[in-house]
Amino acid sequence: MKRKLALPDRILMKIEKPARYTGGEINSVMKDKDQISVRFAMCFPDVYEIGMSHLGIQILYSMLNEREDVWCERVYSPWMDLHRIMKEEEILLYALESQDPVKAFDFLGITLQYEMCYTNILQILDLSGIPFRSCERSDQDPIVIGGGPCAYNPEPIAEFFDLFYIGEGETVYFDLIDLYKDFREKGKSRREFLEAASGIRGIYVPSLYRTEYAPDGTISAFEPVPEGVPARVSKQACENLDLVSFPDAPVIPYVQATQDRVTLEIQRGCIRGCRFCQAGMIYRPFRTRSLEFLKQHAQYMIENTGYEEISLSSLSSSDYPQLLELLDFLIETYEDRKVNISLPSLRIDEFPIDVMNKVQDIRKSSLTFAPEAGTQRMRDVINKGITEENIFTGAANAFSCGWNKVKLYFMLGLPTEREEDIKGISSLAERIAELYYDTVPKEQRKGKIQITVSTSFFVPKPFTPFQWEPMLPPEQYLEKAYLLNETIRTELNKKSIKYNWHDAKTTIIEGLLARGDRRISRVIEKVYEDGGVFDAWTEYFDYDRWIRALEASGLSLSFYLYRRRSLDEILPWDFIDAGPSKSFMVREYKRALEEKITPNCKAACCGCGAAAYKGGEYCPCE
Amino acid sequence: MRVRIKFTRNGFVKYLGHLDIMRTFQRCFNRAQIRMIYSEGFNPHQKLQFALPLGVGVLSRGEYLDAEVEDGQDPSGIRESLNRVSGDGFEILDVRILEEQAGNAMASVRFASYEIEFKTPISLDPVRYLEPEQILLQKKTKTGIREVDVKQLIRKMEMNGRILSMTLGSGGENSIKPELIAADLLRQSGLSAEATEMEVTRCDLYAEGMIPLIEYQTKTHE
Ligand code: SF4
Repeated sequence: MKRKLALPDRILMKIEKPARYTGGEINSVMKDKDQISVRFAMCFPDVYEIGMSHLGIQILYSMLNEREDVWCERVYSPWMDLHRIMKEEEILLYALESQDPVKAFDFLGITLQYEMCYTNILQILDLSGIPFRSCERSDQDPIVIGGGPCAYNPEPIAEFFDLFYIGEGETVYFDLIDLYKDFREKGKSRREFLEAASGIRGIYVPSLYRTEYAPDGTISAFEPVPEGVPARVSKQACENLDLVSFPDAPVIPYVQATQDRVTLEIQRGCIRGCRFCQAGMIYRPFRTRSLEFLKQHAQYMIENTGYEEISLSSLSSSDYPQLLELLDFLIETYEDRKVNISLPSLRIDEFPIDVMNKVQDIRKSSLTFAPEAGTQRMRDVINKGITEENIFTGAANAFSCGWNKVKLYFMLGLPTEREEDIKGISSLAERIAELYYDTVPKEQRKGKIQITVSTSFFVPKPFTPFQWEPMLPPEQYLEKAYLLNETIRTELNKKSIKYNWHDAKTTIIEGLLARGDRRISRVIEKVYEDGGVFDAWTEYFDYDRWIRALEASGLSLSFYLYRRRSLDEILPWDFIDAGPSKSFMVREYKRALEEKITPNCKAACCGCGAAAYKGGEYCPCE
Repeated sequence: MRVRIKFTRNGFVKYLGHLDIMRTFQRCFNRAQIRMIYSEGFNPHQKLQFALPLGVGVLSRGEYLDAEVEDGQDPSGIRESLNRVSGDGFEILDVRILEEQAGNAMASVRFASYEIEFKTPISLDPVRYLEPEQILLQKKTKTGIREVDVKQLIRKMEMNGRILSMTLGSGGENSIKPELIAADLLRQSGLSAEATEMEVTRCDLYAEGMIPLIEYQTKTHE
């Protein structure tokens, strides 16, 4: 059977990597249009290679396609070369499998993984011929759904979505689809469907809520308008990960994806409770998959894809209780087939050196540590929960095993940060370099130590204990980076330490979008209309365009970024229950300022409130 | 044991680049559960050798790949298992065991045959085109643009209806893209290649003596 293609050869032959747009990949799902009743377009609003690397889409894709009455297809952002052609020739954006226009679908689901993709949402809507705002759409348009971590503060993009799905996709998607089918049969309107959908757990329908603002610009009221619409929306989470649908046969891209391997999700949530980390909070409680489950499904995935690499995915893989058993199994089973195993999120303090020796190729790989801050005081403020001793023991272990390349990740601009904390990063890097020469005898050294220090600037995120904290103007971030750079240049081993820092201006816009309210949607729309798209890509990001749009909308960075929010201010995302309670956030914020650490879930439950979600490995029974 | 695999590249997979196709085949062997021989060293990989990579956008009925497998005794079994997993567009046409001392596919190629299908009726005269002593064309090479006489590279060239078929010298220095010759032929008839819609298909590859690559230094099926 020959699949038709939406784009003519003439266009495909003049754009970069045309196979991004032709679909037909191994394990992609084809269905007979006449045999299904609901068409779902699942979109990752970034270029194909990035979107295809994302596990969440593969999970939902396989789950939705398990239903006989649903056909779920994929959509990614056309790269700028095709974007221009589509605009010029008025070609509608289409889904990869059927190559049919997205506009003809029942649902368009957009996953929201990072704030800098917000202009790409508008690109997707624009190229699909779907009006930007929910209120401008008709019954002919797809229902536009947003989900993913950024949906925990949906307000800056609220106007662009008909509904948001807060939490893990596996839980209530089927309820939503059933409701849709029912309402369509009965000939009900879009508005009626949306109102009914707001009654499903975890579903937020922004058009049914109203925000009022006080003269100082803060929110004075946020409430549902029609009666019966819930005032609060609770995130949804799976109780038992062994019982939910699993993507045993993920789609294998022809064009090389950024993550070109099997991703095996071993657990969700994190026991650690770092105070800057949104993922660590919103994915609570910590839940694991059973060893048996993982062994079996790892096999399915490897056999169905033929990949040469499997990556164990989680926020902190060393916290998986049976990590060694799992690794031994994978190594034994796939020794002949040469399947590489990668562990992207190991912690320095629980550095299982025997494990690393088994799975990593010492000569080519570098070791990645994320101490996040340079002094103990600063690490205590962010509750990083590791000491200098942990770091040095971990590093010494690694050196004696043959590593000589180390990558260190830190944040600048953390709450309460002082000059000595910045300089502390430099001195930590220097002492790690010295440790190498002390640990490894000269004859055993495979060259010089190479340390790469990378810093990002701290962005306060919703649902973290630092959600009330101010940010700093870009010049001040840069001063910090320069100070660190200069300090590193004075170290003994300066030649072995490479330093790079993130773009300060991107950080500012990320911060604006992360904690913005509904008024920010105007800004995003203006930026897009001014040509802004692919803001996550440095070559396309334009800070001035954002500032112009902000000013034209009568809004200011000082309101959204540079002020400390008071603890009793109504935050735009306060209506969402993400698991850990607001009182827990307040408690943690205060403890941070007192430089007090809080134990992790395994060591001692600190009663964050997420236990209500059940299934947590270490949560007390209620 | 080395086997030679002949396959098609049909439909949308013509938009894949050569590296994409390499990765695709590595994974096909894995999914087909064919045990492969790996290179030594820290980063072991399957030993695959493709003959004459094709440009993006060109179809083919005769692509070749030599692979080292642990057990090649049953070539048609390999063919069937690969076809079960190869996906739309890649069809395995034949698998043969290579003779012990056989050269690899890439090194063995001497000629390639092509068909160019014009999407609209067209009148071209290849016979007249081939009349001159020399046919000089600008060819882009790594070191810059070079003028080459392609006359000696054209082994056969004829027009049947809307299809222009040609057999060209290929492999190593003596390669020329069929599109380049087609463009020159169009120009001679007062047409421009840019404005002419056409689809290029590679038909087969040949070793010296015009032996199809699948028969060259391979053992015949019993
Ligand atoms: S309830 Fe306790 S154990 Fe459960 S996630 Fe919260 S702090 Fe951790």
